Amino acid sequence: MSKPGHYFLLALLLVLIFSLRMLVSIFAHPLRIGWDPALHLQCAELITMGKIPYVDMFDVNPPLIWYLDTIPAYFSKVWQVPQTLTFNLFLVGLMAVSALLSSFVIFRRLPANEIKDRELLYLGLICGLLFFNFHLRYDFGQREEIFVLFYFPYLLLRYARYLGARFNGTEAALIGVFGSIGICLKHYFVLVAFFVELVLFIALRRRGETKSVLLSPENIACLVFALLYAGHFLLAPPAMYDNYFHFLIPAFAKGYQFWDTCLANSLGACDKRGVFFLLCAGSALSLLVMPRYKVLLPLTVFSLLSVIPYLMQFKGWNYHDIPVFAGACILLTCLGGIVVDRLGKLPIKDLQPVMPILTVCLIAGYSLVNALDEINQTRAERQFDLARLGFSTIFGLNLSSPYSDIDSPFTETLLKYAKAKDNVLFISNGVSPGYPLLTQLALSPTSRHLHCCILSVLAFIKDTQRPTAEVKKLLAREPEVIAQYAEDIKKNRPPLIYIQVAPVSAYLEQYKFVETHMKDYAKLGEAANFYVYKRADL
Amino acid sequence: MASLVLLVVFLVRLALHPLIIEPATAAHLTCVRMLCTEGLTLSVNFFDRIWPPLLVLLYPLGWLARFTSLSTIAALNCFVAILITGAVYFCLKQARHLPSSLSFDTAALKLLPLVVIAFANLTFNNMSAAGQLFPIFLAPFLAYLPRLGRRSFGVPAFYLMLASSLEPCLTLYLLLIVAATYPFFVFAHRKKAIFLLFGTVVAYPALSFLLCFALDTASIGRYLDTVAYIDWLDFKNFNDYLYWMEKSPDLRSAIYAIIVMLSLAMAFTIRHGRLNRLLIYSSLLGFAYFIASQILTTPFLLPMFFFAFLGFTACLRQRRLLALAVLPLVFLGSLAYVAAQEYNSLFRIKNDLSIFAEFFKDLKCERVMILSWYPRPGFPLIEQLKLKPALCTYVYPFMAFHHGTDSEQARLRLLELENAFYNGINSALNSKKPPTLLLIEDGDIRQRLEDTGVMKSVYEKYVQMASLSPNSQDELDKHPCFEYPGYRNTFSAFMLTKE
Repeated sequence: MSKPGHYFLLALLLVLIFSLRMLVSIFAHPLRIGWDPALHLQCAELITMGKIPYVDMFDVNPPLIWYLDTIPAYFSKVWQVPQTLTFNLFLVGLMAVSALLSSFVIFRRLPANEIKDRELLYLGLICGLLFFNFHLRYDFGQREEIFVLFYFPYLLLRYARYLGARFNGTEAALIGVFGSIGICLKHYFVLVAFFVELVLFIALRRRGETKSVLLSPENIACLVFALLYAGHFLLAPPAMYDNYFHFLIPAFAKGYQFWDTCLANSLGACDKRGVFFLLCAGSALSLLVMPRYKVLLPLTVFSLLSVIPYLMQFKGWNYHDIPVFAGACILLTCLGGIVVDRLGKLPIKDLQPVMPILTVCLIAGYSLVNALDEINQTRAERQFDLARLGFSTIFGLNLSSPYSDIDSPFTETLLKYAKAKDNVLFISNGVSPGYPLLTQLALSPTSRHLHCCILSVLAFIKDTQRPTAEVKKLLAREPEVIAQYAEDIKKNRPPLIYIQVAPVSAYLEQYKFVETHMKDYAKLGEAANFYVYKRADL
Repeated sequence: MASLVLLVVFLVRLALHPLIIEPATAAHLTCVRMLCTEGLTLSVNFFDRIWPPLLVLLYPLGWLARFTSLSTIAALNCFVAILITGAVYFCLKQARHLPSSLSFDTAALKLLPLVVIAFANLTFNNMSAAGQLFPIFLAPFLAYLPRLGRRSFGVPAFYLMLASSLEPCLTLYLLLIVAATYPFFVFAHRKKAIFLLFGTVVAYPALSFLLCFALDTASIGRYLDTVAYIDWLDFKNFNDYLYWMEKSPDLRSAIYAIIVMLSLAMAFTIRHGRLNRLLIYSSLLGFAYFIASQILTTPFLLPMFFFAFLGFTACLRQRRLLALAVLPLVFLGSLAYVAAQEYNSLFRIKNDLSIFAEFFKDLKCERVMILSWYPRPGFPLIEQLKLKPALCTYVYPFMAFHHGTDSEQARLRLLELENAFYNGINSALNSKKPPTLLLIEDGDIRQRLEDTGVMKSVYEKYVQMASLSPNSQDELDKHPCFEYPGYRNTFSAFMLTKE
């Protein structure tokens, strides 16, 4: 194997292997989805039904992820398949496109002298970009993962640009927009992208090319998209603009610390520190070989800098460190590629030319065995019939879902008292448990408030902030939120209402909410810190 | 010249604050003092989580306490001051041999003495903490790297030996740094020197274990059972009280600054600067050390900060436009910071003694027992006032006792140690010379003492006389501020009613 074209084909093969492997997982678990991705998918579905963000549905996240999710939400309706499945298929597609674009940038556009003797390193990079997605499970589809997938081809293009690679305007602009979508998902990602660009500029810029490298088509496209996205808020309906910028953002800016943790838990807890140890190992080892393998510089810096958004959010939620994990994974697979390359240079006849193909074959073999294992394991589990949700066949296949994907303390009551397309209400100060259950069981949300995080935020503001005019204005919206819940219950008459015992019951108690607005409901019992109410006529 | 000025400033500060010391180090000093003055045996009738290499190094201070009235803290600080002075002097001397052309590596080495002494000044409140001393003790080794294989090997080897004595984690960290010099500096005539330095790092801990074994064959077994095992459990599990808001210091700004410094340093030195890459590498390992500490307080962040700061300032120094600014910035910045700290310390707080000092001084008790999760608040106060703690410096295994373990065998092993502790406390309370004053942390420790019946002995012989809070504004106003992982529980103070 000597030409970049051959390695490009190997990269395509890797993309195919990993994508097929992921498809097996997805079809084995057609209902599997995490809570945040399910929430965003719900918002996207509501947008496809003509609902207005922050007016007909309340959540504090910026809307770009919902606009993106309208794609799987739309195809779910067209193909008549569960949204969770179309969403996961969308992600596999995104994973494949990201890896394909990255392979294209590396093997078709990087100068030949930059690829020579580094082919396996770059194949390792593609491997890592695909591989990290398999370790996310319920965080598959979080914005952090989507950011990595959108951003990486752009990062590699920028790296290639600084090394003198040439791109035509269209392909550069497309990758620029691609990258911008990822960066604009959360404002923290702008920081990472900016510093990676700064590091590339300092390390690799060449005299006389500064202007052309900085004012390149991909950068312009990236900036234009970001400005268009920011600017679209100016065209938003007044109620949407007002609720988002004058209520939700100021409230969460002051009160999101309700869920804050401490530094020890963020970095040192047993279930979290592994990612940072991987980062240290990957980065430290990369430094030993960095001058020879320059691509390790932006990868290491990306991984390190991704710690900053994780700590800035300060919730200690594992998915916030996905970019760190992805970066560390990619670094380690790059280093793995270097090791394989060195092994190939051992004095064994004909080893070197076949080493790449041998490696890809090993990966394919392992994927196949792993896929068969997963199929056997899921078949042995208790199954949930998707026909209960109105999906007797999916793409002509009789699929079922492992019950464990929808199992929760609330599943039995939901299946007993609600059916597909019913609306159900969870009043919880977290996205879960309402999501992913509502999405998985094809239920609609009763209320425009998809969760009541806003009540915890306002309670935190009340307890911790001085009563300035702005604070009073925010707190004055609390009765409005309660009234909206009441209005939605009256209008939609959900068969089931779940109210979180602590802390939500205390918020509602001061308004005598249950006594006043849930007269038609009887308490069924309690489950996992939730009071369960059933409509009396059921 | 700037280095010498900062060195003088540092020595003067140390003379003005002879009792300033980091709590864990103070606990180790108390341990050696008690072993030497009271004839106690470590991990038999006195418990501390010191490990043999450090015990051997600090033991002479225990003897000093036995035969003189000199404070062990002052003696240690004096010794550390000499070591720091020696390190700075060695770095300055090595810098004279550097070429005048300013590459990234020479920039780092020319800045090294200034950064070492600035660092010592900036971290003065954590005086003699392992995290503070570790990078300082590595400085001669870094200064020696361009001349690896030549004379004056003894000085960096000696400092490496000291660095390898501080903590088991730091020994592993050190081994990884020294091992990395091989790929960074692999030239034929330097290989032997690298192996010798690596050997020094391994040899001193090994020899100290052998020495302890030779003096008391059971000592290593006891160390493994009562300290190493607890260290392993503490690493394996997590104190779930640290899940909540504000339960550990918020050092995020420092971490952001370090990450940005590392990123920019990497950008500058990708093509050149072996030493700078070694510094960045060392800083990244420092991040792992910081995370492995679990409590993530400032002393554990110091190595990461030192290497990142040195690497970053060297990169700035190497750029012509910025070179003129770096030295004055580091120098003047350090002086400004020191001035602010000294103003606070000398004119506002006026007290190097730790919280609860007035309470202890008023009571004039010599024999005490402070039962707490962490060294604070007992330390450094106990050592500052030369009090005599009974049985243990603090209940360092308590997190392991409290959170338990998974396997049955491990549970039984832990139970044995836990019983030894509670029986030891009971014995101390019922001995001929029981502690006059008890300070028991409210919450889980007190509850456990109630459950095991220890509090029965307390109620029989002691009367509760006060409740002391680490959150009391009065205490916070009068004493240097401190970091404290977990809940800041109150402490119930019990006084002995009958001898």
